[in-house]
Amino acid sequence: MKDIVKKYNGVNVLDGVSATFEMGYCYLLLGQNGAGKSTLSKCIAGDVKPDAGTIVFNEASQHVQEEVALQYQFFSSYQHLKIREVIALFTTLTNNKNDLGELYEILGLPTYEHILLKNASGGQRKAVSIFLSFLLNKPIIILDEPFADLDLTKKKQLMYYLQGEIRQRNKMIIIISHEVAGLESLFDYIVILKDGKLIENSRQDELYRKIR
Amino acid sequence: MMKQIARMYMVESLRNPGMAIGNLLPAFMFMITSVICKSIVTGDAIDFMIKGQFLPMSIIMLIFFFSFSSATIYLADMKANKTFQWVQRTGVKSHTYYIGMGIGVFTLLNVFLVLLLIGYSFIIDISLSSFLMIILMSNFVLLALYPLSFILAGLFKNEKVAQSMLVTIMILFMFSVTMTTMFLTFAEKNPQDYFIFLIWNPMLYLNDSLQMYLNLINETWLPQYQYCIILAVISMVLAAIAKKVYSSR
Repeated sequence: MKDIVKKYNGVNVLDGVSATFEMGYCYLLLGQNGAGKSTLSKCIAGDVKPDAGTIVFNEASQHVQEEVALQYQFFSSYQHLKIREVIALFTTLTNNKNDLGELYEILGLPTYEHILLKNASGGQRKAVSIFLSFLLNKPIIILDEPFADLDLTKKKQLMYYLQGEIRQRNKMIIIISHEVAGLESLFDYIVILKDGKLIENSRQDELYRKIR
Repeated sequence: MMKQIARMYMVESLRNPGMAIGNLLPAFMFMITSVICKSIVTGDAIDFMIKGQFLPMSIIMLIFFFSFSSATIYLADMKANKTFQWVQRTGVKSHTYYIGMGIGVFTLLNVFLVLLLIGYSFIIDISLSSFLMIILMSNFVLLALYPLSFILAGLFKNEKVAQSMLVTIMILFMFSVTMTTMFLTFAEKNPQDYFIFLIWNPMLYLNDSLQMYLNLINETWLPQYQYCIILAVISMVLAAIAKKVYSSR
């Protein structure tokens, strides 16, 4: 992405953000509230059109959003369907033959797949959202706080799963998260936004050297 | 894939208590009122009232709520909850989802329409041929109104805005036909002389056809096949507009 600008009510939420993300790596997107993390992820996913700048994938700028799965904070659709019915619907729509049984277990979906979505808790809806992001089978996945609401064991399991996806399927995963303790080995690059500007995009070890 | 989409739409609709109250109750309330009136009042006048007002209103409300109101609110809700973004990313073609959901809407409407007509057949005479023709014409009107739900859902921000706007639209569609017919009849004028001003309204063709099927009038304003052609054309035009609304977003 090059010189991405996005304004809301005259305020630059993204102010000339330029960065390169490569396949086969995991990026941690950090920043204070209001730094522009969610806006940037929406621009990459195509939900929001930048006011200026370009985003290209493999040197093609058209249809970048078709390569991206953005996990929204919560899944609020199909309120009167059971969780397993929603997953069955999306499995049919995506025609995805990949086995996501491991992720299904990690997210604890078997224990509450029979619940109607309207009765699901925030954590359960987030789990559905994460699962559907992987069901879409896109090369680029953006996850927003995927580790929140998971216990320590599940966090580790999800971390290993994500590492597997990156290595075996060469995916690019961008994670917005404030909960990174114990999960540092997952992230190859740290991207830091402040006041709409990208102030850091380095490998973890480089960033630690800079800080010291 | 369309079958799965249709099935999910029907399951979701049937599990929603608001659907039963909002969509079905008004239509069946007219039927219940007809039964009560019929048991109290005797004579031809009550039969005319049931055939001329209550039954058409029941059917119009059922079609309106299933094809239009329910679908528009469902779609507006999908837009607000980002479901459209999810569905787009599955790679499923928009017409697949459109048709799949349409199959669900058609199925639900026809099930309840048949139940409604069976209910009315206990209190007024409806021949089998009229029964089938009413169902056929209702489906053509549904075909015309269905794309409009996508257009309006694309324009409204969310379910709440959609609900508040739909009341106005519903009144316009329903009462522009029924009230016009009623008051012109009271004024001893032929309502069909004024139908040219209502050609934009699919409910006109349904109401006029119902009047004929129930033997209240001898013939419709235009031949039946022309009604079907007009409704099919309205459907295609609205479908093209709906596609444009969604392509531009």
